[in-house]
Amino acid sequence: MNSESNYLHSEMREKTGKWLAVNFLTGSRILLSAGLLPCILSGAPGRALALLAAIYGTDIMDGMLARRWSVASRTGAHFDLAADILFVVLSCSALVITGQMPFWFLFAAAFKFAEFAATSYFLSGSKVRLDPGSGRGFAEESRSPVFDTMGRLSGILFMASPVPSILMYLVLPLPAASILFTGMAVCTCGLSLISSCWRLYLCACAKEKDEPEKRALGDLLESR
Amino acid sequence: MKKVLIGILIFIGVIVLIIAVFIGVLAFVVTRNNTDRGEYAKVMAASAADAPKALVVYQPSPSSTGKKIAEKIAAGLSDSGYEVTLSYPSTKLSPDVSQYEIIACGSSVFAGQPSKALLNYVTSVEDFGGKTLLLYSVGSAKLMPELDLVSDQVKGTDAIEKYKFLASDKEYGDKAYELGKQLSAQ
Repeated sequence: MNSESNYLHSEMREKTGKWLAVNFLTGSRILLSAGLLPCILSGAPGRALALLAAIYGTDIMDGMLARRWSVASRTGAHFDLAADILFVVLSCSALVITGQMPFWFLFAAAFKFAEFAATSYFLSGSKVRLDPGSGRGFAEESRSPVFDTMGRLSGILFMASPVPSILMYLVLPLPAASILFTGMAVCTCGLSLISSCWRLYLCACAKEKDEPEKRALGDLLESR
Repeated sequence: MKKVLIGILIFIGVIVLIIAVFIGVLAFVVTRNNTDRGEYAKVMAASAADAPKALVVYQPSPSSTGKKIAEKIAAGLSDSGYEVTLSYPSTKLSPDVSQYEIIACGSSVFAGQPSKALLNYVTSVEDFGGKTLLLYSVGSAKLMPELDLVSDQVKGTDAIEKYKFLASDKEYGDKAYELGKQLSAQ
């Protein structure tokens, strides 16, 4: 009994340690994003690109480790999203201020993130869980972020947008860099718009449905 | 209905948060642009002992662009035979500019406003003594209402040149050098 309890304790400690490590990685992205700001503002593209590489590294690693160690949680998912949004907003703000990015791109990113948060709230519904004590089912609210493929793609492009806007103005002549960046930004915003329309359509459908069907809609969204 | 309202509130809340972050970043940059950076003087000596003197007063920007532009203007003047002094606009910088033939003043511009430190310095100069004065700014828009704000504070000269450097212009260094050369030719 005692050894079993010790085993459970050590397993719990290990899980907590892993959970903390994953969230530390996500938190470090916020610090790195704050550090990126003066690099962009002071016109240090080399340091900015190095920090961007570290930021993308933490973004890939935290999700991967959370799934591998089975410590993925709703709080972690929200924290990860908040860190991503903060990174995009901070880096785009700095690039807009230095004139390396058009203002409308930041506005488009803000609109997409706000729409994503609102529709995620709307589309994430209740799911039925089994109470192990009584053996009866109970409804549990699930407010995990709800993703769609187009939205994921536009999110990746929004996150990647600081790299070309820093690189292009360094490497390419200005008109070419400007045309290339505008083309990329238009593609990003186009995908974002399609994703937003699709999500709003699903919200309109979900409003008419009852809870289990709403879950099915959420699953449908995941699969697309 | 309640859920729709909460969704709308979340949407507005996120937009407000993002705007707040943007304003925060902008406020940080503007504050730095307005800060008095204290005393600074770098003299680019001329080959001739009795060379005419020029003063380049610039507010360092968060990026290195402001410094590079000022140094290029100074290089243009120096190569034309001037002894050039580079300084920051500060309360410690003497408002007596009578010893200089050419004076150049510039800063970055954010939200249509030039650096307050530069504006205060130009205001503190009682008499520019009819000398050639270059007012320049560095920004992302071609319009330059900020230079009108500065020129309104100038006393004692009508020989005012205005120039706007675009932050996205890769050739600002060459243009600044040419500007220095042109000023010396006047």
